[in-house]
Amino acid sequence: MRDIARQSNISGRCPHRRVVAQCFSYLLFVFAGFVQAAELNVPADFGSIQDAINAADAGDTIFVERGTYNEVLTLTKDNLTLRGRETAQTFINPGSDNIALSIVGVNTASFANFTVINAQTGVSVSTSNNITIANNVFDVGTSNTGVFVVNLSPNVTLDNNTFYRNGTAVSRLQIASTVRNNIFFENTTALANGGNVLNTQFNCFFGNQDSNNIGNNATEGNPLFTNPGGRDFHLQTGSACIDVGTGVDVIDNTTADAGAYGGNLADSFPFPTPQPSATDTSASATGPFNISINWTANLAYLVAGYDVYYGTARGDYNGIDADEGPSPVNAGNVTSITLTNLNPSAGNPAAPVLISVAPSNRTLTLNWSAADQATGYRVLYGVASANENSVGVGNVTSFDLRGLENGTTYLVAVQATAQQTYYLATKVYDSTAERNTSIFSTEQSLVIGPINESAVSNTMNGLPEPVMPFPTLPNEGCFIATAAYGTEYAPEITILREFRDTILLTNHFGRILVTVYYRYSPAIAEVIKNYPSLKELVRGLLLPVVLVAVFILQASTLPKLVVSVLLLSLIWRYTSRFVFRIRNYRDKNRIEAA
Amino acid sequence: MRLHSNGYWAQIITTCTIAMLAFSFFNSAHARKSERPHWSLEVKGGRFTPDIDNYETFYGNDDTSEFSIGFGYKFLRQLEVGAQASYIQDDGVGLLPLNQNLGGQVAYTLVPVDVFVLFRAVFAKNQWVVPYIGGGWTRAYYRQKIQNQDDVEGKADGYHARAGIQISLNNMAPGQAAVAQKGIGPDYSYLIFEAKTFSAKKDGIELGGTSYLFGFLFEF
Repeated sequence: MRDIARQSNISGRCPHRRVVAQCFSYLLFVFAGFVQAAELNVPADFGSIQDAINAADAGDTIFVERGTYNEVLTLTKDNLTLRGRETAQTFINPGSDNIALSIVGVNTASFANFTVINAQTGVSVSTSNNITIANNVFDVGTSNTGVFVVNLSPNVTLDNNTFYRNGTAVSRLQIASTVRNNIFFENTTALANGGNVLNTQFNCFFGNQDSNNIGNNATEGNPLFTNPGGRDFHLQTGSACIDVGTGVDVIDNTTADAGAYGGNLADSFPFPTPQPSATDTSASATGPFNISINWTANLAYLVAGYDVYYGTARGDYNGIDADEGPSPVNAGNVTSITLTNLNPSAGNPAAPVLISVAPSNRTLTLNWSAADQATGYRVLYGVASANENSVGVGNVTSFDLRGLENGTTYLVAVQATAQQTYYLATKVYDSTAERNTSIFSTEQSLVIGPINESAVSNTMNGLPEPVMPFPTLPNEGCFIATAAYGTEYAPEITILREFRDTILLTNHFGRILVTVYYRYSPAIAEVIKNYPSLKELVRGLLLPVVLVAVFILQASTLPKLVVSVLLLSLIWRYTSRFVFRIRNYRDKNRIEAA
Repeated sequence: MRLHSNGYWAQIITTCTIAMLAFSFFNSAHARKSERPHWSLEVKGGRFTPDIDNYETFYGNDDTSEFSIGFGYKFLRQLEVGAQASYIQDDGVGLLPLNQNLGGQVAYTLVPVDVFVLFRAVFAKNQWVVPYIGGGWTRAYYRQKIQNQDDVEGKADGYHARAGIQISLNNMAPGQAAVAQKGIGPDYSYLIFEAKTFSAKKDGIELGGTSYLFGFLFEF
């Protein structure tokens, strides 16, 4: 709820009852004069920004936390401030046909620290006075407008905004307006219909098709955004827009940069890294246990390094066991670190209970109960004993055990396993005295360390076999091979099916082949069925296909490489011979013609 | 090569003959064309009960849902030819002979496509209830998606017959009917209650059954 703090320095006494009422009235009057502006938080106090605007009173500030707000905002109240918590992480996305914020008939308002995307217009100002638009990123679309001012709206101030690839960045500024310390990057038009803009200065321009009205002290040069594709518009070292503005940067107390991360309303958060990757680099299964973490560098010029957080609970990075120190580990200005000599200790999982074994074609589907402290399971199976084979299946409670022999009874069981999971994240910090840090990167996790096994579950039998559907109808489907071999259970069919599933269906060209085959094969299969003499012929034609499929499916890399080289040699030999003959023929003709 | 049964050709010939006769009749009547609609669109749904024993054992119930859409051309308000397609789907299990048990998931889909001739007992422009009867040739496409196996697909030819009543929405709610006529354009709209049976056998297995359907008919 709104937290309206009130204060007063009135300490006078009212000694006579007769005047109590007068005193009370007086106090009320004075209190009213000293009521402090309220701070309204979105989404903590209000579900939407517009709800907060509707509830706000003059002088209030609306703070909007990080997130994407798909809202169309209208502001018609005087003296309100709208601020995002972090420019790079606080998005307003109204949809490409809408205006993100319409300011209508307002005297004094401020809009700062937002990234406005995908809008017909970012901010529209109409019949208003004294409007400040600061430290925002406008990336509304190449046909759309960042800021649009109409209908006698004087004293509009645009400070430290970044206008990135808009149709028109700013349009129709009017009397006594100020455009200062902004970056205009690859907009179709930077400043359109400038009108009576009196104070356009210290802006940074790059790649705009129309850069008229650039004003005084303008800089033309590449701002070198850190990662504009990822909407990180911080500036890299060497940017033409560093220290070219007027005033002071609140972050590092130097001359103001142009753009959304300069000036006195800039937020101080570096942009976080993407999700780091983590690799188990333990020396052996018994340790020492190490995790190597890699991340993408943040190239912003103020970035000084990275903190690496680790721990054994999701989102709670309280690790203390790495030789590099307790979490967070200051990795410095690098993009990888190895946490060494970790001490993973997993629990002892309870034995799961195997609940059911459902047979189908070459498959047994197992279901079991979840075991306490388990982080994974193994399925054990065999013909004489369940201990003959095992397969790790991850942290699931159901598994299809495929590739079994139809008609063979298998013994199956399940065993729970437990291993330590480490959760990892990074933060970026800057070079200022305050050592400002980014928010956490997306979390990464990795399972390492010794594996604790539970006792084996109860054992059950399973007999895989083809399912006979009801009613039992003939398959006229698209199977030339089935028609040729007479049954879909022929070994050649099994090979071709496996080739289809594991090779062809895993790539685009293969999927096209399969689609074409399924489209045209029914008619051919029908013919083969009705003319048994064709079956032998088709089998003969299919034989090389089956052999190639067997080779591709079962041969190891070396034979495949040898055969590939041989094939390429043959192709080259005959192609070059063919080309040579054509050339000879052409030359001969030329000579004869001459 | 024998791709189709004799019954199939008989049905096609019958259908075409009736259509041609009707077309001739229509041509003779064309000169005195009235404001009658020419086209119809039917959208129906209901329950389908397969005419096969033990269906309930494998699919849990002895019936399943059916959805149908049809288009027709009216030579007269009393005579219509057209085509309709239905979608019938059910999920169940198969048989595991070695296990002597039921198991494995099977999704059974049946799509009967009907070419029909329909006779409607409509004698007045604003008749409240119109009984109708019709029938024709049917081709039923089937597909069984079986757990861990290739699909089984095929088709079977047969015939169908259907009868029902159409209740005029124009008479029931003339205001709304007039609005609908402006908006979408149907001249007449009806509620349909229909019973339909079709038969199509594949290797001696009957794919057909009986449907009870409810829906709407729009005449344009």
